[in-house]
Amino acid sequence: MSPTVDAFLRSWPYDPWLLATLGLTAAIYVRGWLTLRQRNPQRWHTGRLTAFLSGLAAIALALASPIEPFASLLFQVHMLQHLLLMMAAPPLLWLGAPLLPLLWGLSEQVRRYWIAPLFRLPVLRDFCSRLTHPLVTLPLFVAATWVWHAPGPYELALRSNEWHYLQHVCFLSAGLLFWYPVVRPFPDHARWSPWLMVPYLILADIQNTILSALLTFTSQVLYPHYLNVPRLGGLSALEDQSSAGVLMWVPGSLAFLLPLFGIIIQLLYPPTATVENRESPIRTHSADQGQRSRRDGVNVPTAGWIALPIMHPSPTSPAPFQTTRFDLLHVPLLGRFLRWRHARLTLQLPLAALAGILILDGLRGPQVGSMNLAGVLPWIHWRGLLILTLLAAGNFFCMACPFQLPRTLARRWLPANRVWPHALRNKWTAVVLLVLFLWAYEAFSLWDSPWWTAWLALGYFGLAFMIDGFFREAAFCKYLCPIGQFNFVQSLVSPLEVKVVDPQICTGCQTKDCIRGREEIPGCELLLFQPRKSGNMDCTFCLDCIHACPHENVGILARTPGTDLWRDDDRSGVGRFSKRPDIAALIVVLVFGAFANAAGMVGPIVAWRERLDRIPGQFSPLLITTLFYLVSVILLPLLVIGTASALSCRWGRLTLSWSEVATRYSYALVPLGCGMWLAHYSFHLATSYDAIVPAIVRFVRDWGWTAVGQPRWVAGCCRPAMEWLLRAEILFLDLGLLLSLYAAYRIALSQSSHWSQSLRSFAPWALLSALLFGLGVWLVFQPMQMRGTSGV
Amino acid sequence: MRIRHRNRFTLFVLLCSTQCLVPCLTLADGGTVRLLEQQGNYHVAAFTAPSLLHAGPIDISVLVQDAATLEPVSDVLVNIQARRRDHHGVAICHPATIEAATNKLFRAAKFKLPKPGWWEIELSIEGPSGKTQARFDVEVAESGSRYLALWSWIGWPVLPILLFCMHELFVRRRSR
Repeated sequence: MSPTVDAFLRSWPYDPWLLATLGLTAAIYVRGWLTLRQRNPQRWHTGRLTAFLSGLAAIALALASPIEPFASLLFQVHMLQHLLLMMAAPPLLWLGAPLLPLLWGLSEQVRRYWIAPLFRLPVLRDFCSRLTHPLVTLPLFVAATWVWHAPGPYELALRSNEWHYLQHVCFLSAGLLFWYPVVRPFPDHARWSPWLMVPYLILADIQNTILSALLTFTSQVLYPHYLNVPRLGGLSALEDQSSAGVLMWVPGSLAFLLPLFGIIIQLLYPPTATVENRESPIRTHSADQGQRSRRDGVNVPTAGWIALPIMHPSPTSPAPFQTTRFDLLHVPLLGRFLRWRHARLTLQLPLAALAGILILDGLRGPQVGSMNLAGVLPWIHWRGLLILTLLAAGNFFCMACPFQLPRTLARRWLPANRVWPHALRNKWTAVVLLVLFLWAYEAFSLWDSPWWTAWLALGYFGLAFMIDGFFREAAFCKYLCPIGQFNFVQSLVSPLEVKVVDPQICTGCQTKDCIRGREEIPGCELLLFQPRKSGNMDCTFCLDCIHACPHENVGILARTPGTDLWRDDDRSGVGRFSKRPDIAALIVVLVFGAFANAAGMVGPIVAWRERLDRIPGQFSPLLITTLFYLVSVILLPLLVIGTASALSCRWGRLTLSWSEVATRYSYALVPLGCGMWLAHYSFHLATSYDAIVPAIVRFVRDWGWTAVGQPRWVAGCCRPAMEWLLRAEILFLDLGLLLSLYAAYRIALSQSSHWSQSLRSFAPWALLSALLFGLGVWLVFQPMQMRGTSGV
Repeated sequence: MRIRHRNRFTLFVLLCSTQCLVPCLTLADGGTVRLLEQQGNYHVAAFTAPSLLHAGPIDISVLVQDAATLEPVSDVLVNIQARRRDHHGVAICHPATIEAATNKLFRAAKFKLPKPGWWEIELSIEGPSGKTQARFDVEVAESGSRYLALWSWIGWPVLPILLFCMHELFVRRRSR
């Protein structure tokens, strides 16, 4: 194989943002398509799905395949890229009839609250209506083609990334506009004669022919950039340009002429009425259109006027059909595994074994964080994967918690019959333990002390054993465990929850097995009664309720992340969030703790602490750390939350006390805290993910197995931060800010009946969120101290 | 409301979403051509990225072709040395590798140039047709603010916030 071809085939640019965007779009479409297909499989056939996914694949091929890196060297490859963006991707996307699948792929809340009002905007409606008229789309398409192929703009795009980006956006947008009237995706119908498409496509082909002929037959190189790059495959710049012209001419013309012939044939020989008729450019509004529309969730069959069900969000009139909520238990293999009674134990055993190895190595291995499994496993890998799992799925760490095993043993060996003291049946003890943990992490440099880490894990096992050996109802998990509290709070923004599938079934249930248990299967030990359970607070994903329910009516269901934050239901086992200042305090500690924990490792803060440390006889490191945490996790939150509450009460004329307001609004800060934890921990995970390899090799060698070779300690140190990492960290904070602002706004709406008052009440919390966001951005821009990974 | 309006609204949303689809994708491997000449038995091309160089991280990529056939030479070692033209400070040297390049015709290396000013880049090439060297100069501007470089990542939430404000105003106005 020629070296050039070989290099071409191996040159795949890595672009996680593009792939994530395309993947998300595909996922939304597929979800909606599945829902619609249940209703009308004839209309929502696999051809639509294939077309839409092929459209996305065409975009990926143009921008994330070897075509992209070779486009700047060969004009013909660049031309192929532009043809994919203008001629291939847009018609394929429209053939997928994306309107309804994309709508039904979204959550109901987003659809009704966000999309429906926008549909009603007359300005936007008129704008879109004018924009898609053939007399507008054709000139725009021609203009985009000719302007960007003029030497000046084309050279500009080749020289500048920003202009190149704009060029691609123009091509893709012009393509989408141009192909809209041709495909007229369901459920659109004609506003103009279908005969208009004939000159439309012919004119488009003529202009394409003129430009491609110009490129093919001209005797000079139009774009000097290609004269100044190395030539490949023995092609001169002029030959390359001619090839590009031919490529534009032949496949380009075919892209116009094939639909043209199809349309002419349909006009001359109209097909009999079928479902597909409506997509044909020659169709007219037929009487049965309304009926078909109803089948697809589109009702009101008056001629020419069709309304989507999202337009009429009435609590009394059910939607024509409901989207099926995703249930993890229905995923092949995984769902079956989770339904298996011993699934939890199967997950816990390996984690318990890892915890045992961690303790062993922490006590006996070298006391250098990066060389010891007790330094690497918990502080780099476990933390990063924990927060990622919480946000991507849910509280699966509690499900696989290794501390469950000593708890189970304790309940067998010890009485476990005492009731947890009433005064401690709240989160205040957990708040204190959490503050102590955050302080101890910094004060005793836990990240770099395998010995302390091992003792911490041992203490955890011991405490879990003792508490659950004497007290019933999972007191350790519910009231003490700092890791559990962290998981409960962060899982308020998780996309999955353990929930009743059909509430109607529960109304007829007499046995209440989900909380009482049956036979050998325990009920919910945290006393969360499924029919009244809402959200993830205090749910350890133990799945006991799923196994105990005789009706198989409990699932792990998808939900809109964050809805727990502003809903104030009376939750089983938890009560109303507005009446739980202890949970609010827990949240505040975790939010400000996220920023304090990240601040402890950035250059300016470390330098500031070292300067204080150098002042003789004034400050010991322990005192500095204690003061730092006292201020950042206790005093500062009290001050800012108190001020925001007072301002909120005053500006919003609220009748609640400032502590009630502080309690209610504190929940809105969870996403920002979550964003900061994620930015911080993902940084460590991404820059030190392979630090575990030499630590494992060293551990194995210490136990006499030398066949694994020598540890390569160069991998024990962190690698330079990847270019995408800082962007990802900012993105996490961005998303956290948006969700925090939205949650605070929804809470504000529930506090007052007047919108203006709600806004005034919301303002201080919006300001606080913006300040925390600014602090987070500043932190991620600072040079990070690679603590615990640079000791070798 | 006519359904077709809604379909066109989807078009609008798709058009807007195209803005998200293409960023970062246009960062073609290579960048600005700095050198294109024959050196010994090789035809050497060198590129730098980004287009405007600032003190800080830069990418240098090299394509070595056989001078006679213009076929890329695959078994060649390329070392790149960067030093200030006034010879202040130490030289920075990195091997250019295929692994570091997106376009596998190239060999690339990432440099972190600490100071602005003129820098001399020297390429040492060793392959089956012998050794050769090539050099070129680049002007490096003051380090740009990272905040400014990533302003769009920091500031994009303003757009959904504005859209949401419009949405809320619209909803409230209709409900009156």
